[in-house]
Amino acid sequence: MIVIEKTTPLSSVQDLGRAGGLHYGVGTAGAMDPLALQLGNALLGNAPNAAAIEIPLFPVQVRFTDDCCFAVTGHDGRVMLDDVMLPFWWSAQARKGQRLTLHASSRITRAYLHLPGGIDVPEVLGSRSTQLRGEFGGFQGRGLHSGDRLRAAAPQQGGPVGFGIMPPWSALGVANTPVPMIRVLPAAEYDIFTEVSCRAFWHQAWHITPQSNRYGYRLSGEPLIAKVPLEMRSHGIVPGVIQVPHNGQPIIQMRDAQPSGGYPKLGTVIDADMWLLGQIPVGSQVRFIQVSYQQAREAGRQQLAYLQNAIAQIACHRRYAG
Amino acid sequence: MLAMAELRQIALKMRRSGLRDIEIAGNHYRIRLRCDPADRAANPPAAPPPVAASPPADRMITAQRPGIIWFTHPLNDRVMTKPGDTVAAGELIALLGIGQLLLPVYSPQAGMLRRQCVANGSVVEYGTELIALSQGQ
Repeated sequence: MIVIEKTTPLSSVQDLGRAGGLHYGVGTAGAMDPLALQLGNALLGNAPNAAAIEIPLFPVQVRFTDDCCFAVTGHDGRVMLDDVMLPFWWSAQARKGQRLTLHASSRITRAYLHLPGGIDVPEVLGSRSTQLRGEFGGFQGRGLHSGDRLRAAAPQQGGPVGFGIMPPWSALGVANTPVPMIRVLPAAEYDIFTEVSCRAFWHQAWHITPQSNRYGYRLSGEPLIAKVPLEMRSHGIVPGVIQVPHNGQPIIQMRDAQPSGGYPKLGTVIDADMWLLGQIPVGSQVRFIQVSYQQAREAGRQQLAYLQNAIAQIACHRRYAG
Repeated sequence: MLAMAELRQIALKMRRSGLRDIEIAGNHYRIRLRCDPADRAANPPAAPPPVAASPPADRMITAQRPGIIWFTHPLNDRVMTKPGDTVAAGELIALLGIGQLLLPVYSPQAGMLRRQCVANGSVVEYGTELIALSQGQ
């Protein structure tokens, strides 16, 4: 078990999300960086969908009330177990009474703290993710407070620790791009925007404003203008959809997005790039590249293959490490 | 199976005795070790090493598996250790990348890291000398 000693309420328990409820108005929630979640779970031998604590603001400090192994993935801020610094994306053993402190990173937003078997919270509508708007799921349907006590689902799971995984930032070659490139499919209302605006969308670097969070990313840049103003009834939308309200400044729906909206949709971030977008810090910039449906599917396939390969290598190491 | 450490011992003995070729077989494996013909040290008899009253030689930390050696973390180049650092026994001093895995390289004993024997990010073989660690003090 761990006791949260220091946190902001923006830390929350997340798994891969709540699928299948959008038509009832139940949003998906789930980890903003599903690659980090799954790789961290693999480090401990957890199921890929096991829940972890997603941490967007630092420092966060927890105390272990028993001997327990853990892993930290997601970001590249300092990770201290008492006064020993751990490598990034690493698994380790904590002893009873030890404190783990996670510090901020300047270029990656979110960290994940994984425990053996996942964080032990009840499944609600098929997921352990916190639905912050609906106040259900996760730990008591809310973000974490200091004093909260969270249990590992399989504290005795065991297996080797003290090793790590190459972060997808390095493995997928996105670590050193000064402005991250996010792949986007044109969406239903793409053609209502002027040619100049469409060009501006692809060619400018967009600023991620401080009004960006798990619900959505609000961007700022040269405004995008529709040929004729379009009013639409609210209709179903999913995470990744890029809406353009009348002020011409796009909003990208993220994991806690509401399931419907009425603004024109200019594009959709492809699934394979949602993890990357979810990790880009507020205040930095992002660019978009247009892809076709086939390229989006291919990117998804390649990412799945990469992830399965990395997870298989971890599983092999866990089986044979002495 | 033979452990890598045993194989290294066998290779060292071959080198000292001048044996050029050896084949070892077990139930599920067969291993052939052959000395590099260019290796002059494999000619017996080797002169015994001079006994010197100098301070203890540096201890070489070697790679326990083939991989890519990282003295800085590949994610953001944060330095793990650098020459001149004093380390405790069991302290993490480098990472060995194997595929997507990053495995720890620990210091076998307390001491001072004198020098890195290979470039950061280079491919190393089993037994490649990674870091010279000064002994004693």
